[in-house]
Amino acid sequence: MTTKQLDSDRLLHEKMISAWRGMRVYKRLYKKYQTKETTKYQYGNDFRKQLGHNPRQTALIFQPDGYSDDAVYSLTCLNQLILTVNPLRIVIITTNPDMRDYTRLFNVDAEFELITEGTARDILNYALMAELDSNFYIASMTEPYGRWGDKIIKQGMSGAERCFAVGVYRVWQYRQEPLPCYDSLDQRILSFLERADHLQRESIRADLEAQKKYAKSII
Amino acid sequence: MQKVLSELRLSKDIKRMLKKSRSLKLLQHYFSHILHGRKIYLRLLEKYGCDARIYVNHYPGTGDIYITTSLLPTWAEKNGITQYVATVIGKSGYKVAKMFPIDNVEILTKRETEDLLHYLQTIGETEPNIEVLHFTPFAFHQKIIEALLGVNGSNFMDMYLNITFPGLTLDDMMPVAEQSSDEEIAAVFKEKGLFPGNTIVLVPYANTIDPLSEQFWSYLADGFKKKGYTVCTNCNYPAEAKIPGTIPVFLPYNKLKKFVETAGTIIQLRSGLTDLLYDCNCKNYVLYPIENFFRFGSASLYEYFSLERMGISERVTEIEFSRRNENKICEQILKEYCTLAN
Repeated sequence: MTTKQLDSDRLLHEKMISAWRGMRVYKRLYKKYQTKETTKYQYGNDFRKQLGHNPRQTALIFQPDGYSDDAVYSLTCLNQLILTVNPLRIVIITTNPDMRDYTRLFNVDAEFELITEGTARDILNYALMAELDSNFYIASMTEPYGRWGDKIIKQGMSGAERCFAVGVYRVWQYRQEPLPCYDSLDQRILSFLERADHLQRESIRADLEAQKKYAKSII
Repeated sequence: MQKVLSELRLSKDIKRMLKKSRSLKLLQHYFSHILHGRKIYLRLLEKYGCDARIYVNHYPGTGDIYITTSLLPTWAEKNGITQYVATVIGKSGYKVAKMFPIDNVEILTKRETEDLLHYLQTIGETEPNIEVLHFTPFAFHQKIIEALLGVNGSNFMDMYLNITFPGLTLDDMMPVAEQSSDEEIAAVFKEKGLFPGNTIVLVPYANTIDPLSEQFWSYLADGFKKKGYTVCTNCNYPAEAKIPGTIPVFLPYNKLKKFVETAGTIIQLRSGLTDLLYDCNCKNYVLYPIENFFRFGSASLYEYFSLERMGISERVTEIEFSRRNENKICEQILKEYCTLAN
């Protein structure tokens, strides 16, 4: 065996061990939030079934990098996910402790699970090797490998926010929503809102250009 | 007897447990798919050289392989790759790939291709020797592009040119070298009892699109026969059923274009063959039913696969319709065709 092949063998082996750890975390999260839900909403389950809600519906939103642009999109598109899927409960699994404050801006009552970067990497490696449940959303357009959302944006086929909402959250009827107002002087939140505003404007511009570009092929 | 039954029940319970167990599924995926994919990868490198680039076609559809293999020589040249191998699924894929100047084409089974892609997804970009020629391979987990098909009015060709082959254009598609003579095609017409110039070729089969009813095709065939045309079905008879009352025809891909041009008219359900025959010099009708099992993002079949929207061909007549209106479309085609003929 060549040195390169031995290196690949070692890399595969490491990924498998990391995926195993990621699987353990995934199972723990599911057990924790599913179990709580049935006991908490037990009384109202039958009533909710009549209305058409699935009483076990929890949306778990996993942010592999809580400081990236994808984490911002996961919050700006969150209300649209709620309108589409109507979950009874939202859990945000993130590496950024400030996400709690940012989420409050959007009037969403969510629970938080803070994890380390290593744990996030383990969950991503597990996602490479297994099909996860449909209510587990990986808030990233590039990870795990094969998503290639960045290619869609780079080639001008779509704005980033639309790409995230439709691709990751599967919000088929995507509409851009205005950002919430904030009156206080907390610099962290002001800079988060400024960043979100900048990203939204870029996304709108990219969407308009893409629509002009592909409308030519229709006409 | 009771002991045997109880043991059988126990093994069913064990099987049910194994299906639910994430840890066993993970181990099974790693050992039987990823490591198997790695073996295939190493086997290909051993056969074609350690520096060879492996281009994987993951879907056996004719249209997909036609587009990727027609762009592949230019793509490889653009990236400075001189030594490469294209893998395909099945013999039909091999025949399509061999229409273009690609020296090395390897046939893999569907399982082998999927395992190779599972291996590719696991190692990511750390192994630069392998590349998949599709924008959203089925074997990959956690895909997002499948929901973005047709986003902002983009189509099938846009996805290939922007994601799989960025930097290439439609002009980089290699033309197919014609490998049939007029005499060969004339002999086929004579053997089958068809009239050159007055023959309708029907293509009712497609991988991705649900078939139309046999009644639709029979009605169409009868309508044309009453007007004095001969009608043939492109199918591998008897493995594929021919339309009743028509003559089955099955030719290699590199002779099909000339045959269809000699016949005069082709009416086809949108399929991979439509991509192969897009520039036929004959009357070309392509049918797009609205209702279909497979979805393509938020776009309809016509919006996503239209040849005119892709910019490939303007000579085709494309018809989008609801499956409830099959009979009306039949009558419309017969009426329009006969009006044009007169």
